[in-house]
This record gives sequence, structure tokens and C-alpha cells, in this order.
Amino acid sequence: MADARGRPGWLSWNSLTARLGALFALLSAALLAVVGLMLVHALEAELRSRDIAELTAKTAQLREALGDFESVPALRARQDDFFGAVYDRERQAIVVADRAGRALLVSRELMVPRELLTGFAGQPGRGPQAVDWTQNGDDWCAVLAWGTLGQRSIASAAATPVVLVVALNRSSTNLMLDQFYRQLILLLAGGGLVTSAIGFAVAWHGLRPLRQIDATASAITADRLAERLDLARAPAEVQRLGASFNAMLARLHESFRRLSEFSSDLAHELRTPLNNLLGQTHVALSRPRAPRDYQDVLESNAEELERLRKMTEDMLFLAKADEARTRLDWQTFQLRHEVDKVAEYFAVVAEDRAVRVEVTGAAPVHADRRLVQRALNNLFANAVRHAPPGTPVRVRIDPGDDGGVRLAIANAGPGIAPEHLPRVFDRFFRTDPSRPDSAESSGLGLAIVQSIMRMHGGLASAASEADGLTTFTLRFPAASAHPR
Amino acid sequence: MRLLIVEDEPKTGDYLKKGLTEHGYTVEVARTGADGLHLALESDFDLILLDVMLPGLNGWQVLAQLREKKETPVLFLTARDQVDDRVKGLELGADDYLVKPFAFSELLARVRALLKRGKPAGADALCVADLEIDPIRRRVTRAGQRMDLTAKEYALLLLFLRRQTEVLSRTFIAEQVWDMNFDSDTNVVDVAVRRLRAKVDDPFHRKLIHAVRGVGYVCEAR
Ligand SMILES: Nc1ncnc2c1ncn2[C@@H]1O[C@H](COP(=O)(O)OP(=O)(O)OP(=O)(O)O)[C@@H](O)[C@H]1O
Ligand SMILES: [Mg+2]
Repeated sequence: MADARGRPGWLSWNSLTARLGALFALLSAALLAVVGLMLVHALEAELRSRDIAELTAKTAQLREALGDFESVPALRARQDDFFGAVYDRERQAIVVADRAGRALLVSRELMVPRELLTGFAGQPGRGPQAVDWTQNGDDWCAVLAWGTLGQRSIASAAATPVVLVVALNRSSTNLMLDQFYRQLILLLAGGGLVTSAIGFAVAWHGLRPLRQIDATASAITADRLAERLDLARAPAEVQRLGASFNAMLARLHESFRRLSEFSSDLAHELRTPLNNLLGQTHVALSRPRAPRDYQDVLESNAEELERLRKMTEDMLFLAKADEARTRLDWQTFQLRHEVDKVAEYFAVVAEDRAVRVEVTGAAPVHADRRLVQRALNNLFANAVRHAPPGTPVRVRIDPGDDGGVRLAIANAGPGIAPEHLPRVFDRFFRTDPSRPDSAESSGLGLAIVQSIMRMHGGLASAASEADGLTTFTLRFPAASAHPR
Repeated sequence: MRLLIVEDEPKTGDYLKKGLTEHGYTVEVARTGADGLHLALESDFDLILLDVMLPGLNGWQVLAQLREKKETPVLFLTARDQVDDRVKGLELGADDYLVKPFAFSELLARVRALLKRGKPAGADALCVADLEIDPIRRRVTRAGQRMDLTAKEYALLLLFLRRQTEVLSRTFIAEQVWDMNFDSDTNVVDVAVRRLRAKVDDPFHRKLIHAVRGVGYVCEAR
């Protein structure tokens, strides 16, 4: 059986339910059969040993009685006395035979198999022996024993040893056993069916959480990622699977949320420059103008477009970083060297704003030089922009004790409000979007810094004291811990 | 100088042709890979600008087939900024590549660089109007007056003089002078140029370095 998607159904041969059910049925049938067989066996043995005990007791009585008859003719003459009250004519037969195995006295028509009789008769003095045979469709069981005629008479010399056979027809017992057998087989078959049904039911029930996972997973679409499995009553084995599944859903949900937030942010960010471009161009074209005016519009458009271009470039960079599609060009170099280079690049701007850049410390890092340069660039741009005139921007490079490297860049200034701190690395986040120069900035700078650090297996973090120092820290992991 | 542009996007092809023609090049445009390859093989061009995404024969195929017969320099234009693409293009024998969207000044700079390849750089005139650079003694004079420049100011001025009359984008300047190989904070370039102009231009009536709004800067005696 397979469902519409071509997967095996719950009752197909490689379904766990079917396998568990079948296994359960097989095991219980085997167990029932073994127990049944043992029961039958025990019953049979018990019945037989009772029969034999009865026969042995009877034999003892008859042997005792034999002593009252001094000769075979006397025995024959008073055979009813001999057989006595204990004799059950229906089921029992008594034979007295001589040493040659010839029958001297027979209680009813019974042929003890000759070889049995002669075999026993050939062993004088032997103890009682139990034998079984089948005759004319009847099952017989007998005890053979030696007895002595005339033992009690005074003339003990006349004592004659004879073979005493006391037989019991066990046909009815066997018939009963047969019936019992048949009932047992029926019972086994029925029991097997019932237990396999129970087995299936138990497996079906036990695997219900799996079907729930299936159902939930099937129902999940982009807009229903909030769905979770209910694991409250799931068995331990499924709990872990379910928990992983839920964790996966949570991650997917989060990425999806971020993605859709990102695209709506993106649309929003694009709207303003596009609006400007469109508006300016339309106004310019609405009536004839002097060439100078056209030039103005074109120049303004060019600026706007340049910003759009830079933004798409940054966005592409972030998108590729997210997909881990950027291959890093790993090399080991002095971080100080790159910092100095970027510091030199910003030197004129810093000087312009009366901001000093001070760099201390040095350490080699294993990283992609261009990407590190880019991250430093964004951090320097922020620090130099936000540092009040006359204050220093301090950069410190520390080799960490874990083999990694830490770079901290700190500037004074108003700082970042605590509620904004966790969001500064978010895309498009600006603490004050109404600032006059916010049109220049895209709010992608720190997002790029963070994604560059993530690509290196490191981390960027921010700390800010109110009216104190704002510090951005880059942590590069030890060279051995690099993702490759 | 004859250039061939192989580009299927009509607007892109048109503005490239217009811009390059205005800068003194003879330009032909092919709209498909097959046309482009045919033209490139038929006549001799000094440089081919080749778009990667083309209908029919794509840029890679055009380049591969062209390289079997000719060594015309090729500048790749691609919309996909992927390391693989870059490597593939350079392996196939492209001489340079540019990712869309690019600034026209950027393209112009690269075209000039490719066409100039092989010519000694020192052959450039290192003076404009009354400004002169003595590259050996690293000395700058204007109207006989010695200018005192920082190392970076000197490098910036040298770049302007070597690329006279070319409009240089901020990104290109940052790359050439400070070795910043990406979209760095271009505000820095504005400040640096402003400081250079303060020393080189401000004391004089005739200005040599001009801002081209929305594009970049150009050095010429107007
Ligand atoms: N050194 C700093 N001191 C104070 N505030 C800072 C500092 N660095 C960043 N910020 C705040 O964090 C916000 C996000 O910075 P980010 O670099 O991501 O964007 P941006 O600088 O506004 O734009 P872009 O870097 O793309 O031009 C900024 O708007 C700024 O308010
Ligand atoms: Mg920034």
C-alpha cells in the first residue's frame, strides 16, 4: 500500500506497524504453542502415571489373591472370586499365564501381544513392568508381574510361579486427550489471531506520534511554520525525534521571519530613493528647461543611483554570506597591518573632525584579508563619524588567551541606548533614522561586519556606556577552530 | 581605437556605445553572441566588451571560440559577482571583468588600462597647465612654486595627472591610492580631494581638479 505521494503506507510490508504486529503475533503464537504442548504432554504423562498406579495397585491385590489358589484348575474354578470386586469389566482385562507365556486364565477376550508376554515370561523373578500396545483399534496399557499360585497353602512345595497381566483399555483416555488436543489447536489459532490483532493495535497506537509528525509535517507551509508537535504524551523515543523536529521548525520559522522582514525592509529602503528619482525626473521633464537644469537633475539622479548601487552590492554580499556562498581566501597576516592601512585611509577625515586615531597592540590572524579590511572600514567609518571633535578613537588588538584575537575599537560620544544595542547589527538598523545624514547611510554597515565575523567563525559585539565609550569588539577564533 | 560591444540588453548597449564614442573610440555593437563572434573574427578590434548572459551563444562560449583564433583583449561584463564566474572568465582568457551595475567611469578606466597595457607608464605626461611633478625627486611645483604634499596627497595627485581628462570615480581612487578593494566609505575620498585642492588649486586662479557631480573627479586644464 502506498499513499498518493508514493510513500509506503502504514500497512505495507516495510511499515513498522506491520512488522511489529507480525512479530508480536509470531512470538505469541510460538509461546502459546510451546505452553500448550507442554500442558498436553504433562497431562498425558499424569494420566498415564495414574493409570499405571491403578494397575500396579490392582496387580498387588491380585498377586495377594493368587496365594489363595493352590493350582490352576482351582483358579479357573473360582475365577470370579479371583477377579473379585475390584475388577472393572468394561475397561480392564486380567490374564494369568504360565512360564512359557501361555494363557492359563483370561478375564475377557484379550490378546496380549505374544512377544510381550513371552519376553516377560522369559525373565523369572523380574519386577513388575508396564507395557503399551494397540489392539483392534483399542489402546491398551498393562502391568506385567510375577505371582505365585498356592503360596499360602501349607504345602508350599506346590507353589507354581505364573505371570500376571493386568491391562487397562486407555482408548477413552486417549480419545479425551485427542479432543483436548483439537481444542488446544483451535484455542492456539484463535489466541494467535487475537494476539496478532492486539499486536497490530498496540504497534499502531504506539506509533501514533510518528503519524502525528507525518501529519504535522505535511501540513506545514511557509505561512504555517508556527505549527509544533505536541510532545506532552509522546513516548521517550519519539520525544527526541519530535524535539529535533520542533527545533528545526523553530529555526525555519525564524529564518523565514527574518527573510520576510528583510524583504519588506528592503522594499521600504528602496522606496525613498526610487521615489526621489522618479519625482525629480518627472518634474524635470514636465516642461522645457535650460541645459543647466537638466544637468542638475541628472547629477542628483547619479548620486541617488550610486547609493542604490552600493546598497544592492551590500545586500548581495549579505545574501551570499547567509548562504555561505562566499569562499574565503584564507591567509595569515598581521591584523595590525590592516588596521594601520584603514587608519591611514581615514586619517584625513579624522583630522578634519579633530579626531585622533590611536592604535595599540598587534597579533597575527588567519582570515580573509579583504573581508577583514572591509569590516574594519565599516567600524572606522562609524567611530570617526560618531566621535565628538577632540576625542580619540582607540583601537586595541589583543591576542586572547584561547589562541584567538580580539580587536576593540572605542569612541566617545553620546553612545548607543541600551534598548538599541542588541539591534545595531541588524540590517537597516539606524539608531536615529531622522538624522540629517541618515540618507547617506544604509544601516547595513554593522550587519556586514557581523556577517564577515560569522564567516570567520568569530563574532562582533557592541557595548556602550551612557555618555561614555562605545566599543565594538571583533573576536577572531583560534586558527585551529576555523570553519573551512 | 576600435571597440566591439557584445550586449543583448538594448539600453546598456546603446549607452555604452554613446559613452565610449564620445570618448573617442570607434564602437560597434552586436546584439547576440553569434553576431559578436562573427564580427570579432571578421575584423580586428582593439578590445571587446563581452556580456556573459547572451541569447544563443553565451559569453563563455564566444570567448572560448574567439580564443581559438584570436588574442583580442576581452573585458567581461557580468551581473553575477561570483568567484566561480570570475575564475572561469579569467581562465578562459578574459583580460578583466566588471560586475553590473558599474559606474561608467569605472568602465572607462578599465578600458583605458587594457588598451594601454604594455605601454610604459612613465611615458605619461606628468604636467598639467603650470603644475608639474618630478616623479624621481617626488617634487611638485605649480607656477614655479614648490608644493608641500603628504605622501597620500602626492599619490592622489600623481593618479590625477596620469589619468588627465578621465573622470575618476571615488571607488577607483580609493582602490588606486589606498588599496581599498571594495565599496569603502567614499566620503574619505571627498575629504582627501578637498584637502589636495586646497593646496594645489585654491591659491591659484586656474583650477585643475574638478568635481563631476554624481560621478567623481577629473583633472584637466579648462
Ligand atoms: N561608534 C558608534 N558610536 C555610536 N553609535 C554608533 C556607532 N557605530 C554605529 N552606531 C549606531 O549604529 C547604527 C548602525 O550602524 P551601521 O554602521 O550598521 O549603519 P550606518 O552607519 O547608519 O550605515 P552605513 O554604515 O551602512 O553607512 C548607526 O545608525 C549608529 O546610530
Ligand atoms: Mg556605518
